[in-house]
Amino acid sequence: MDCYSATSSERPEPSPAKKTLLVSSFSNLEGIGMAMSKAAQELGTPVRIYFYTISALFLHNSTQAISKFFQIMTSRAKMNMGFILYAVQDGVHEPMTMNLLRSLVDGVVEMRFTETMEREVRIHHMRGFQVDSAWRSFVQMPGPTGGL
Amino acid sequence: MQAPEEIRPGRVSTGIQVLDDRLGGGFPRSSTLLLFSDKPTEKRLFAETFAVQGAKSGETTLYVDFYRLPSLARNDLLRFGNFPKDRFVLVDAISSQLMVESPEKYRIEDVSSLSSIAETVLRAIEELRPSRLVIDSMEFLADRFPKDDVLREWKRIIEAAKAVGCVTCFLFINWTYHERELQVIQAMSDFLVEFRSSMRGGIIRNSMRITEMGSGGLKTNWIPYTFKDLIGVTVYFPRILVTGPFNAGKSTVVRSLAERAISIDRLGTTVAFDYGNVSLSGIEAEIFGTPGQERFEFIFKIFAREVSGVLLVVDATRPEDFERAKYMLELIGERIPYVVLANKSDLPGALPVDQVAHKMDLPEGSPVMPTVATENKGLREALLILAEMIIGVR
Repeated sequence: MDCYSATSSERPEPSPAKKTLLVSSFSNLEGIGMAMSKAAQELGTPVRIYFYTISALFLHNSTQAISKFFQIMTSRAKMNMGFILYAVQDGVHEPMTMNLLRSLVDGVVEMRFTETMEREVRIHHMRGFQVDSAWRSFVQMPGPTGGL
Repeated sequence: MQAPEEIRPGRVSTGIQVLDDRLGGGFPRSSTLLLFSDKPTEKRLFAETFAVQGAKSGETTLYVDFYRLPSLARNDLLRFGNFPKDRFVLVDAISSQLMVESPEKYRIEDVSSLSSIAETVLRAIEELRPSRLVIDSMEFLADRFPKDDVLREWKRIIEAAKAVGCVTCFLFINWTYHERELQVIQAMSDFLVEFRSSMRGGIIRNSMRITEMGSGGLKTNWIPYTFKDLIGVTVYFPRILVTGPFNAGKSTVVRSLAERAISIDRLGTTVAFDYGNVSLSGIEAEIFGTPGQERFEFIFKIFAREVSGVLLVVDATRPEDFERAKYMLELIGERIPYVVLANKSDLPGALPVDQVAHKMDLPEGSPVMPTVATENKGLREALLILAEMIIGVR
């Protein structure tokens, strides 16, 4: 789902190998929501959805609108589509907004750079599980198999 | 640019015949439609169908778009087929947001100013005197400006549009307003068109419901709809059941109604199901015929789930089968709309419809239609009656 090209007045060349749903604008929350449903329908459920990023929406919509959108789409994804993972940039939102987003999901995974620019990850919480929330180092594996 | 139109009396077609019939030709001129949902839906399809339908009929249509660049909007509308481009006028509210040149005559230069937005729309209404106006979408304003200001400008646009005999569609998904503001908005509207989208079994199901504000007006049931290329929004029934006792003519009904039909049978008797797709008066329907014999009742029960409506086929010359037919109706459930097809009504000994109704002990007013499936007589009429019952306009 491409929410970027239309707003940058770029039109990506359609590729037969890659199906893209174009959303007209970051402000068009309804369009984003329906594109997610259409993509899930086309791929066949269950699907894994990666939403990159919720933070971008805050530049174009009110917190109140995004909160309701977030709540509705999370519920739709869990009920009918499968699994959804939202990315949020830390440090650009009010603490209250971050708390609200945290409260609306089942789990939070945090990632950070250390002072020496090493990557670390931890599970902040995960509904239904006792988690060890200590920070762990990780590296990004190169090559076609990739992974962390 | 085209010459401004005179205010014309009469109605503005919805583009959906079965609704137009009930509305006396469409929405009355100088009326306001609120296209509303509180969750994401495909209400834009309805608005686009409405807009393009206007342009296709030679009416001037004004479309205010807060989300799409004009090139993207016009590209999206190609799905609806050809229409006179000079009859479709866009108010471009996004080029200035993206800081790109706008090719449109009517463009909003400053989207951070509510009065600038309203003045541009009002100027376009005054100069073009459009027959149809679509504002896509009001939540863009609701999310950016104080509520009282938005409601004030909303009202001004309604008044200006009404003054030129225009039918206005306001698209609105409610992200931020409370019940009190919603009541005000509904009170400013003549028709409330509610939308909902749900996903069942991985398939998106869309439906809408039309309510004429004020007492005694039109109020439909939830109407399922889909999008059809080159046409737009079409009423869509995903499952109409054709059922009835053995040898009543169910497979013939399916084959006669459908443009394409398949049947899974053995020696001419349906042993699994018949299937066909019907397109009729702005309605698209998938029809499923069930076997009539009791030993196939398990198949009947599978197909009887989540049906929109039922065509119950009985052989009008065989009243001894009516009890079985009545039992099949009971299995489906009394809340599902149905029409009884008194089939083979051309044969000697066929009972007239009132006697069929009487012998089946049907509730008063239950529709019974005389049909001859082999000659495709009465079938389309029966399906239209069923469609009106499902939609809630009969």
